[in-house]
Amino acid sequence: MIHIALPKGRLGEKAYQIFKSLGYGCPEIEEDNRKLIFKNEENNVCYFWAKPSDVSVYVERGAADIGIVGKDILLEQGSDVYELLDLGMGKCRMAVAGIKGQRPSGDKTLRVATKFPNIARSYYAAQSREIEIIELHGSIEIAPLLGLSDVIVDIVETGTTLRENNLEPFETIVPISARLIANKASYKFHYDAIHTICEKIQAERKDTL
Amino acid sequence: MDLLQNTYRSEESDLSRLQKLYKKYGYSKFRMSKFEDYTLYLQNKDFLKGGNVITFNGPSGRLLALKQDVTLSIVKNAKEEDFPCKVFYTENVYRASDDANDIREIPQAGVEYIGSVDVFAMSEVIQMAAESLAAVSDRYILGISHMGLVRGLLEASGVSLEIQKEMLTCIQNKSTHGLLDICRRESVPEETAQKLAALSDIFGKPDDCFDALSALAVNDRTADAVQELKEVYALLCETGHGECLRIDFSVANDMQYYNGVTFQGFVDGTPQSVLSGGRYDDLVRKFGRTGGAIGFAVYLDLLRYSDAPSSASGDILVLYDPADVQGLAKAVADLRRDGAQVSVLTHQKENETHAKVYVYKQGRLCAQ
Repeated sequence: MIHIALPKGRLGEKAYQIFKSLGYGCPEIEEDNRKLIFKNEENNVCYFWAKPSDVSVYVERGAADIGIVGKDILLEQGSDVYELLDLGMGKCRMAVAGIKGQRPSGDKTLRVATKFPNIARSYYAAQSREIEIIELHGSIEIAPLLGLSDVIVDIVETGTTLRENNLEPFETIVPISARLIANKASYKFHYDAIHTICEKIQAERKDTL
Repeated sequence: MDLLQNTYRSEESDLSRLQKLYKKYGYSKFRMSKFEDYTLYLQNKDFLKGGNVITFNGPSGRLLALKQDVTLSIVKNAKEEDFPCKVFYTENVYRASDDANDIREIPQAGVEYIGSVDVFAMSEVIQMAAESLAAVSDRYILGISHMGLVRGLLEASGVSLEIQKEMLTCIQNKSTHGLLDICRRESVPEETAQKLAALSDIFGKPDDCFDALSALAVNDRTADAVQELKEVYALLCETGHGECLRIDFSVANDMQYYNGVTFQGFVDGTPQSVLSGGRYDDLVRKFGRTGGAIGFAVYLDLLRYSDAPSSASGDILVLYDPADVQGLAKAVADLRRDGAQVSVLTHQKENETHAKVYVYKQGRLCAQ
């Protein structure tokens, strides 16, 4: 049986619909119940919902064989998993942003507010830029407005929130989208099942493109 | 407390099985101090597998480290006049997490062959790796790759070493889409990009993969690498060790040190590789020796995740009645004299399995 970790929220629901359309449906998950784990013996799958940032932990440690996770989380956590497919869903980008028209100069330590300290650190390390990380857990956009930081490193989807708050993206660090990941040992012991899932997803993506 | 005892016991028995195995192949035991010069680790940072070195000042102000790796010390001390140097070790290594909040003592066993490495020597070490996995689990897979093919294809892409490393990470993560993104970004010729993508995708039994691998060769060096894999596989098949092998380039290792076959072992129930090894001639040359080397390490701490029953448990349990012990000590001593591990208890513990269970009754051992 293949255990699949789905991220709670819109991305996970969309991912489940893909699995369902490929013959991996699980009626239990669609019912209004308080169950945490959903099995379908017939299709040989078992799903569970996890906090998006926890999906790669479940997969890396083998509690799930495969999972759906954003590239931002994979980069930030540096998880030791296989990144089998780019699902092309949940597209956005990791960007540096700040107050419109106020690009910080390079002559002082840059204060960077972010939920992604590792991504920010490696991005600026590659530029040999001295920075101070201010780790926040939400509402990152407020930081430069209140003078807490010079810039933010965060996910930008449409840029509406930035625009409405007189902020603008300065640089793109990396494009982000959802990835299908697999545990390295599970991939080997359940190769046929996991490979078939990958092939079906790829075939469906080709059809829809 | 029970958990600790069980973990300890399991590591001990795994260790003793592995030691017996390596001695059987004519390898002798290498012992080393708990401490090593910090500079050894600093100068060979990329060779070390994860974790940070734990350092302290020695009596003369020299910076020392708690040993983080055994292979480096073996290669450093290997003398050319002793080649081929065939050693195994069972040592604890010490590593700190990135934030240094977590310092760990990790039990490790391993094998190193240093000297002139031919196909037979290679296949024998890989055979020992397969048998190490068999000694700790019933269900195991040994993924195998060849750095000659990986390095040859990456060099053929014409990109800088820095970008080649980025591409190697994609191969190790089976991120074929990521690899192709880099190829597009760096304007790698389409034919090479497709070959790299195929290399990243490939997984299967060697017989099913060799044709595809041969088609990936771009020059003599890469063709030789595929040929070497075939020869090693053929020898492993002779002893029945070919069945557990899978061609898998995600087990490719660091380009700076590894130049030939590399492999990783997985056992069912453990989420990470429990064995890692390969051919590392370049490390030997870095220490100024002529010759090659191949070896592997088994990470015994990871085996605790595995609940797969071991087929190799060779111990005996003798159950007795405290009111009937005359002659028991002699009967047990006779069993131990034959080399068996014998545990004597009044009752069998739950969740414990033994290869044989005897009941001692009125001077006789009866099989249960």
